[in-house]
Amino acid sequence: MPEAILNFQNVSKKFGHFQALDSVSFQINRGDIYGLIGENGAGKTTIMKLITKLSPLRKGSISLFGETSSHYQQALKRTGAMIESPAAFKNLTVVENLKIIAKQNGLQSKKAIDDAIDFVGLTAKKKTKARHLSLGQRQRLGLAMAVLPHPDFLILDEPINGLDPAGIIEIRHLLYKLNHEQQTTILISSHILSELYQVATKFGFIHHGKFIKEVTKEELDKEKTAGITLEVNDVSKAAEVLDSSNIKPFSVPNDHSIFIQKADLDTGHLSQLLVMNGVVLNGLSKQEGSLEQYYTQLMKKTDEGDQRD
Amino acid sequence: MINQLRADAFRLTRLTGFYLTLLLVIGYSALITKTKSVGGIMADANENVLHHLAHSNWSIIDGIRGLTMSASVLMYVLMGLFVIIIGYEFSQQTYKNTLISGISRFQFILAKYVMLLLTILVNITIYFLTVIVTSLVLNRKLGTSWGHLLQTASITTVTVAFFISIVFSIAILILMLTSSVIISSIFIVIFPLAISMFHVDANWNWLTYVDFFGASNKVAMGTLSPSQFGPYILTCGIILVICIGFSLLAIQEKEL
Ligand SMILES: Nc1ncnc2c1ncn2[C@@H]1O[C@H](COP(=O)(O)OP(=O)(O)OP(=O)(O)O)[C@@H](O)[C@H]1O
Ligand SMILES: [Mg+2]
Repeated sequence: MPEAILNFQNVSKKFGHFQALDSVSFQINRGDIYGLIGENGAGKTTIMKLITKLSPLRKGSISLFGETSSHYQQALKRTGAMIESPAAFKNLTVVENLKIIAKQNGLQSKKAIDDAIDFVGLTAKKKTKARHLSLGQRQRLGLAMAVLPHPDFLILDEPINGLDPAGIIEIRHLLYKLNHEQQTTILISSHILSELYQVATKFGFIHHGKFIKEVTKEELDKEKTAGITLEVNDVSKAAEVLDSSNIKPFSVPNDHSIFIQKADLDTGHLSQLLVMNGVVLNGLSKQEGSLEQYYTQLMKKTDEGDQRD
Repeated sequence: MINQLRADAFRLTRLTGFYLTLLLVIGYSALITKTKSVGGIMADANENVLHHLAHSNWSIIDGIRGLTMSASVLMYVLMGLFVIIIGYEFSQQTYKNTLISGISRFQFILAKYVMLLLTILVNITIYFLTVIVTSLVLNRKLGTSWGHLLQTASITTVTVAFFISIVFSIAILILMLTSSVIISSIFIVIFPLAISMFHVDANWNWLTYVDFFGASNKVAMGTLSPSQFGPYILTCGIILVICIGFSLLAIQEKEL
């Protein structure tokens, strides 16, 4: 059985009358890179703040490394986090800020600080005051602060916010390395789903404070729909042709394209079939199923379900 | 908690603000000693003593007395320490890092209070050392025995530092309740003024025990002996416990 690092059970959170979280339950196991997905205001940050006790827990239970939330001070020592914007003392340099984190965590090693700076690619800015860092550099400093004490569990709230493409790739490698070399379990949220897809091994979907669904990457790869998009002049005619040739299922996203939810068709044959039946084919593209698409469909289903209730 | 104290001590040594505070304290102390002009907020200053201080040639013990009477002004200088040590954690949101490091809320509040107390103590010690050094440079007489001088200096140092730390503990509570560094700093500014005003105008005698600067003046004059400290220490102890207790409650209930 996999070892649970975090167990979130029936946690609800209200801000005044606003129900920010509604009986959320999920579990993160050792070695997971758990991606939290949800729209703005879905409740991702709230979940992270509850785990790290920045927000008081009133309903439900959370356990971290097997300790329950009423007293998991020790568990928090094994946890690193960067929640919402990274925080640093503005008048202190990169190294000084990291030294403070090291002292707070009782770390002695000077090398660990250099390693962390190197890890996030801030070596050139070691002696720069935090206030003079760029947005992405500040983000990197925040990451360095979170990983410095070598946490067993790392919580990152939109860590690639503001990073350049190279930075995004570096962070991806960094997380991969932490996960593989130090067996760090990671909880991460991001709005850049294509990126999250490349990093995470499990995905949890939150919508309006409710935990909708959890899938592993393998399940997602099976479920998410790959297919072929056709650009045509006459969709109804094209639909007829596909219907009569028993090519199904397909959908019509707009009045000039058709999406066939099947990835293994012979495209040469398909285009020939359409053209021979008098359909003008303007384009044909194979489409990998994406996390984005999966998410959109899931949200659509959920909202439709809500309306039926 | 020791880790947090170390981290804060390190942080202080890296901030110009900290050294500036020390310089201001030294400058203020030397200035008063040299010019023999007592300044500060006093409700019930002893006219005779003031008269004496204004006209005599200051001996070193006079210097200590004069400096004690001027100590309320130090609040405005030392306020910088409050802002650096605890204010910055909230204004720059670094409390997120601090609290995630695994320190309990109680240890956090206590560590901040202890750090304030220690740095205030360092500053006040330097404040009184500066009087002695400046007086010696100016070739002033001792005015008493070295033993008595040092005893008076150390008692007033501890008293003044402790009293200031109590005011800061109230400011910590205000910071926890309002999340505003500005409001809590304003409190520090207003407190000595308000207390001495009410003490005089409203004649509320119970205020005697929170009129910290009035009390330290009496200590300096020798009109309040250490054996009469009881009610003051009790009042301060109660205020301290209440402030730390309520700060703890406030921070535990807070959405951070
Ligand atoms: N301290 C607070 N007081 C009142 N409402 C709050 C508070 N914190 C969060 N909320 C509300 O709770 C909801 C969830 O917020 P949360 O920050 O968890 O969203 P999120 O999923 O992180 O969104 P985003 O993607 O924009 O970061 C929001 O509607 C927000 O307005
Ligand atoms: Mg958020």
